[in-house]
Amino acid sequence: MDELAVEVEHLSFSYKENGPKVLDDISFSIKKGDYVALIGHNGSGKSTLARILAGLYTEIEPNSLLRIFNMSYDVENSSKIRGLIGIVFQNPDNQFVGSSVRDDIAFGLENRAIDPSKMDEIIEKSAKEVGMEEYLDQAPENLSGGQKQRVALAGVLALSPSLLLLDEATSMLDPKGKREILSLVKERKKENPDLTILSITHDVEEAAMADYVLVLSKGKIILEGTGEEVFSHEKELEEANLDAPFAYELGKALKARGISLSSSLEEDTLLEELCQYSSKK
Amino acid sequence: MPIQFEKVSYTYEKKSPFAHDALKGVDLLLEEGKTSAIVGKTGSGKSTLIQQMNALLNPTEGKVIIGDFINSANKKERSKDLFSLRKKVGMVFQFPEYQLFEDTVEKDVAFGPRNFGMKKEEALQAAHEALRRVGLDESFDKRSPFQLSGGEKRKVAIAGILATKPSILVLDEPTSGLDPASAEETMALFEEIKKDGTTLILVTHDMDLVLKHADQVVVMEEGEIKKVCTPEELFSLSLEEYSLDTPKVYRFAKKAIEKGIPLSLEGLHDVSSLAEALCKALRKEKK
Repeated sequence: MDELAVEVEHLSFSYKENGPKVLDDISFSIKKGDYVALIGHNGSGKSTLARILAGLYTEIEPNSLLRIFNMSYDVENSSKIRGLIGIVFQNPDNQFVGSSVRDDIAFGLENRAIDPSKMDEIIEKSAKEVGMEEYLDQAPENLSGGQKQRVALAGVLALSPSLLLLDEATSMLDPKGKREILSLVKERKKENPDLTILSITHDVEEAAMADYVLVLSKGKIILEGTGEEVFSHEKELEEANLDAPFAYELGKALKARGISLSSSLEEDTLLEELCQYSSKK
Repeated sequence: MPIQFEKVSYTYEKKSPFAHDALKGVDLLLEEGKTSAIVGKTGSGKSTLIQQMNALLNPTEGKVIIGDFINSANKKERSKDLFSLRKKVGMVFQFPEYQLFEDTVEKDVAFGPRNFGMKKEEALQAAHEALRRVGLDESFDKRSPFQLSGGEKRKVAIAGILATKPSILVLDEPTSGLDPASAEETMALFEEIKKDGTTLILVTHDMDLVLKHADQVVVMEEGEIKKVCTPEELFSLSLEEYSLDTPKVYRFAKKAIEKGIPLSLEGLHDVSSLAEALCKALRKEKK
């Protein structure tokens, strides 16, 4: 059987006692080494879920089950689990704590009481992994949003997490910054196939890249499966305020005009099929 | 109200070793009642340019004429009435929801009109009108802005600007961080406001947004205007030179043309117009 990185069963959560349920009886699991995308509209409960997984909110409702690498957040295990998880948040300005790139990456290492004599080496290695080695002594105000997110990622990677949570890590960035972060994450994943990634996003193009997609709407998981499976449920997606990827939308628009192709999520596949269509007489 | 830039330059920390030319001799006309998109990479001078529009910055050379207000490098020529200028030019900064501060939604939205001299009752009335306009009903009036979702907060922040009834709206990345449906709603709202003759200035990296909503695009690079044209003209060019992204629709259309599908780029602005054009092209080929 596949090893599971995350197991969630009947998870419910509200911020206030008897308040509205932000998460309502959610169940899902994530296999070790998978890249999973969680998509949902603004206010769907995505970020709350990320924070619960990261152990930032521990007051989940009784009967809820949450296990990360076969451990639950109890007194004995919580610091152990936190040691396995790295999280990158949405706003690059909210998580830059150091006065320079070097200090910022060191912050996490200091918290974990890493031997200072080894720190420099780790810092330089992680900065190199995200392409920020030239900026080690720069202050945050001299960096662009994309660069700050790369530093945040370096700070997290320096701790070699087993589960990486990206909480809308690209949504405040411009298209170039977005691509930089995504290709970095893909690269890291390639080099470390055991790394499990949960990316929370409303960028459907990014979600189409993942191994598995979960769709959250109003605190419930309404769809799950591979990208193609999930994006074929247009009605549910529309109700959940989400779009389908561009290629899928275009395929649909062509179908409505009498040109039926397979429902691919890849633009190039769609284009290939169009060419074949035009050469068929 | 139109905005006219005449040979505008701006240097940060002038007369110091850190002097940096952010704008270099900009000549530009932003027409009344139109949507002008300002694009260019980070550091190209977009923010410095928009800050000249409500005199948050004064040019170090040249002048900006906003309606009857003159924001000039020459102090003698410079208009004094900042109050009415700022009333006319509404700025929606990036992530405006971070600027919410009052304990109820209606008070937060009424803050602008109150500041511009309206009486409390009047200001609340203006706030309610603006809130209805952005699609938030009465049930939101007395709620705390901090208990709303991200999309709702953004709407409250926008209502706060609309309540002062500006005739120019400057929008800095108005849809970033919003889910697709909320983003669409927000842009539809601005299109609606434009119908009253409001001039819209849209600063963005999102070329799909530019293609869909702008009448005119201003491309900036290192403090200079590189190009002013329609979105269609811009996107039919090779964009690498300007380090801009190609909108999805154009990216696909250009690839299709490369593959030999005889597609016309004219009139493409969204998925359905692309599908229409592809159908036409394919049928033509079959005959």
